[in-house]
Amino acid sequence: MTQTEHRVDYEPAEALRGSAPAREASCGPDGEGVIARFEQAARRSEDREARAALAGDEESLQALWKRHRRWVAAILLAHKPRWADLDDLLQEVALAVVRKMHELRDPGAVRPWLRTVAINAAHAAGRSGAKRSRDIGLSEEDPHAERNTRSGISPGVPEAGRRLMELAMELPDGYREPLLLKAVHNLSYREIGSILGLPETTIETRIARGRRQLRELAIEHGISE
Amino acid sequence: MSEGELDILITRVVDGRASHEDWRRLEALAGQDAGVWRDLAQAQRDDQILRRAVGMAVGVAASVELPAPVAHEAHRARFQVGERTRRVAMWGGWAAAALVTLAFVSKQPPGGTPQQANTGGPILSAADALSKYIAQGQREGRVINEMPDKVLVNTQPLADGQGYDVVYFRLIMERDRVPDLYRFSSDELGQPVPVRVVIPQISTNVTNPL
Repeated sequence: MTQTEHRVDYEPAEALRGSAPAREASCGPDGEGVIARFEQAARRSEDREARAALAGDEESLQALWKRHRRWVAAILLAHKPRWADLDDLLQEVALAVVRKMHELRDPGAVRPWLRTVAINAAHAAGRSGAKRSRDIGLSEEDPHAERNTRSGISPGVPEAGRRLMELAMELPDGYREPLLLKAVHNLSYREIGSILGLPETTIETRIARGRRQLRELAIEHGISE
Repeated sequence: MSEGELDILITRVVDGRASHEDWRRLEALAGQDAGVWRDLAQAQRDDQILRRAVGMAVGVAASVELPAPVAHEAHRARFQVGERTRRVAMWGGWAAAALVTLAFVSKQPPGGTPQQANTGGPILSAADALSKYIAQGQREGRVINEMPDKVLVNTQPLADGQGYDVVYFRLIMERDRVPDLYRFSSDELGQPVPVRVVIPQISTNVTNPL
């Protein structure tokens, strides 16, 4: 990201700086303190779990995986080719966790590492699909067309949701990822920031812009009025 | 007010983070342009739909467990066996498309069908050995039965015109017990690797909820 893009990203959030989130405002000073203490305790617990997992404790590794796998799936969703199976890619990430996570030294690096592994797995699927399509003479845009065009979105998802997700996939990378992370599990801006390695204000701005672009796309495609 | 500022206000409301001051500003903006309420409603609606859709899409994550931490060589050995099985399965799938119930008369082993085979005594032929295998396997619970249909792979008339050379699969249904189930996926380098499959157990011990 360029310096200019960073500045522009900050601008709207900076303009509103000082207006505390509603949950804090509504809770008052005491409630704010309780939430802050709760979040600190959760961070300490997660940190302990990550340290134990990196030290080779199998139970902690299992717990760590269960804690993170849903948002990892969202990252895969944001980057995978349309035809690739989400569960296959998620299993690849799970395998990398077992085989390589112990090489990490910093528990704070777990989230960015998981994201990198997920993105690599998604891109590797894209490359293998493109190569295969060249080998058998198919369009690279739809390398597995012979597999009856699977969208990669669960068949049980309602039509409006499926179409909106497809539109979300058209958003720029920088907006698509935080938007999907926010949509899954309701991650906080701080958590999304720790995954993407960005400040909370940038996350807020990107989600806000992503939502606006999605709204405009939805209207353009007749999903919304 | 910039468009970006309005987007931030809307997204704070959608995420339940809007402060009293945010609401005050939003109401002031809506007083000048009623389209603000429409944008907010639309953003709320899109967010609800997207959350539900993404939640369903990533629901698969709940069933993806970490594979057992088996040694790398064990992974490789299992893969090699699995890969051979997969290739046979692929070829078998092709052959199954040309499934033909073979109507030729094959020589039954002495003793008739496997169920009737005499399992004692010397092995007289390959067919006899197979019958004894099936009978013994059924007693041990390992073999369920041989499927009545065979899968035709190839036929070729004999040079002397006295019949056909027939190549086919016999299908023997067997049962085994294994500690874990694996499927084959590929790692981040594209190398095939086994991944444990967890099949959810459905309890049959149903009690009356009333």
